[in-house]
Amino acid sequence: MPRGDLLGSLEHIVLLAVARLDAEAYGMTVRREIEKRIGRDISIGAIYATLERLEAKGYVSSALGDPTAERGGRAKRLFRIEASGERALKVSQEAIRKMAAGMTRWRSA
Amino acid sequence: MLPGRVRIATALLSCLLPAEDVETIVGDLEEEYASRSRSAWARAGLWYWMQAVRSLPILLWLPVRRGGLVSTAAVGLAACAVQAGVEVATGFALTTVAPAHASWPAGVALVVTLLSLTVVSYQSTQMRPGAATLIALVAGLAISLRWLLSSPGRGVPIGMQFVLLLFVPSMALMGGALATRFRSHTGLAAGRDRRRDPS
Repeated sequence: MPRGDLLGSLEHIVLLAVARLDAEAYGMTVRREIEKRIGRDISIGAIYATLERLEAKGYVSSALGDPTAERGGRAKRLFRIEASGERALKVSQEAIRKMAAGMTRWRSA
Repeated sequence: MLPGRVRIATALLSCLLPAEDVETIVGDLEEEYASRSRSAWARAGLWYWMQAVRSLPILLWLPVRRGGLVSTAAVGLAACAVQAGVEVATGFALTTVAPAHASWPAGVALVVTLLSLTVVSYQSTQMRPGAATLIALVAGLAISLRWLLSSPGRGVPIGMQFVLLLFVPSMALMGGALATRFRSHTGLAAGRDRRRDPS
């Protein structure tokens, strides 16, 4: 497996959030989803930096949405997972599953 | 409309970030702030500021990555060399012209430093967005090094060093921000958005 196929931990989490949110994935909803599911408070800057890295790798694509009043008339940048992103998720999940297979002893529960 | 306490954070982000990032990131923050302030407005303000402060270093680094680290670093370091040349030439001219024990040359030197830093940041950001971040970083490191290497009790007082450490890199970022505003207004940065739009 080429090294580039494996996602970093934050990339993995952000890509999963984009996949879960489907058409509603933009910076703040991705941040909220991660906070809600794993309780990790990530800054919006880190979310956008990760999304941009994923976009550069071709795992997600983005497009500007319509401006709304609650956002001070500013547009959303909506993200969508691409087929290569889904493949990368599967490869990473599989790698973790294989590495964890048969592990019975953990230092801390 | 945002209250004053978070409007400053918005102004800071709007000033320092590229226009296309301001649109989406500040929009996201405002949306979340509006939702949080309905239940706890004081905590919502604190949350907004924390997000702005934590995000700013990461977001300032984004243009460096977009422009390519090596080429942006080359432009940034060349700009630093030009600025250092101006500083050395000014110092030499002032020691030649000014009488001994005069205090005004230090003030003139500081003004020239700040202005030249802003100008080189502006020019280099026109060539490579993100160059100003690197110039600010180098300026901060240079001030810190000068501080560490100066013998105790001599040189610039500690309070002034803190002011310089905050103010000098900020001037570099300001030059970059001016260039970014100019690029946005003239539509030079609009190509990125057009490329992203699937339609």
